Amino acid sequence: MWYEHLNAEAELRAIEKRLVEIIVNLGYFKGRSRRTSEILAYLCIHKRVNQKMLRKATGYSLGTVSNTLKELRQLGLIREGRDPEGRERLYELAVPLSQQLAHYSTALNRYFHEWNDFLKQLENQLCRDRIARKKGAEEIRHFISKMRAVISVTVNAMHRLQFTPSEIQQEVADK
Amino acid sequence: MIAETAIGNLKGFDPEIRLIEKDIVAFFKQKGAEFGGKDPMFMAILAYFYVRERLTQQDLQNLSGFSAGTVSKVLRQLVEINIITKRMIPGTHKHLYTMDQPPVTFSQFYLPTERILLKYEDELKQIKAHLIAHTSEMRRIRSFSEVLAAVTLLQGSVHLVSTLIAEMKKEAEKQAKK
Repeated sequence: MWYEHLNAEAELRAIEKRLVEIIVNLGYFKGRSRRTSEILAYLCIHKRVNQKMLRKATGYSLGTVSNTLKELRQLGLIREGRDPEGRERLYELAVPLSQQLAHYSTALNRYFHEWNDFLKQLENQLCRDRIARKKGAEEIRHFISKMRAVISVTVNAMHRLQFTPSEIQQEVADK
Repeated sequence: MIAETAIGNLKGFDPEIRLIEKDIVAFFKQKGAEFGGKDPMFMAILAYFYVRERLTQQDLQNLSGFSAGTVSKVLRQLVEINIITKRMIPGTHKHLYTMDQPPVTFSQFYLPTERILLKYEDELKQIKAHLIAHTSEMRRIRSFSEVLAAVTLLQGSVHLVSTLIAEMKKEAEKQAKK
C-alpha cells in the first residue's frame, strides 16, 4: 500500500489524512466548502481537537481554522469546551458520527413524515379554486408528484431493509 | 404538460404561486440544515430546480437574490454530483441547466455513488487489515485507536449505504414499470 514505506507514526498520519479524504468524498458534508468538510472530517475521527491540531493536520492558517470553527459552532454542528486544566479550547462534534449513523433511520423517518405533511399542505392550498388555475400552479403540482415518487422509492427501499416503521410506509402507499 | 420556453424557465408565476414556491424553498433549506447540515444556499438552488427544472444562471440570481459567484459555485457542485446537466444555449454564450429527470432516488444527492462506495469498501478493508497487523507498533501512537474506530465506522456506513442504494434502484425500477 502507498503508506507502507513510511515509519509507523507517519503511516498513521497518512492513513488519517486518507480517511479525511474518504469522508469528504463520501459526501457527508455535501453542499459545504472543501475547507469546512475537511475540518468536520477531522472532528469525525477525533473526539476532541484544538485549533493547533487542526492547523497542523489541514495546513490551513490558524485564522482560517478559527473562522471555520466559529461558523460551525453557530450552525450547531460542533461544541466548544475547555481541556481539564481549563487552558485551551477544544472542539467536538455536537453529535458524534457513530450516533449520527445509528440515528440515521430514525432521522430519515422523521424527515419523510415531515415531507409528507408539507406536501399535503401544498396540495390543500392548490385545491382552492382561486389558486388552482393560476400561472405556475401546474409546476407546483408536478413538483408535488415528483417528490411523492422520490419519497416512495426511498421509503419502500428502507422498509424492505427494515429501516422504516410501517406507519410511514402506509402513509406513502396511501398517496 | 408543463409549457416549455426556449431559454430557462423564468416564467412569470402568479404572485400567490411565487409565495408557495418560496415556502418550498424555505422548507428545503430548513430540512437540509436539520437533516444533515446542508448549506442553505445550495438547498435553495436545488429547490428551484425541483420546481422549475430548467434555469439559467441569471434566472437563479433573479429568483434567489444570490450573487453570481454563489450561484455559479452551487451550479458547479450540482453538475458534479449529476443532479443537473449543463448545455450551451445555441446562438448564445449562455448555459442552460436542467434537472432532466428528478433524482428518483435520494441517492444521487444524499448518498455517494455506487462506484465510489465500491472503491472505498475495498480500500477501507485493506487499511483496517494493515492497522490490525501493525497494532503492536502503532498502538502507542497518538490517536491510533480513534483512527481504527473511524475506519470500522466508515466500513459499516459504506456497507449500509451501498445496500440501501441497491434496494432503492430495485424499487425505482419496480415503480417505473407500473
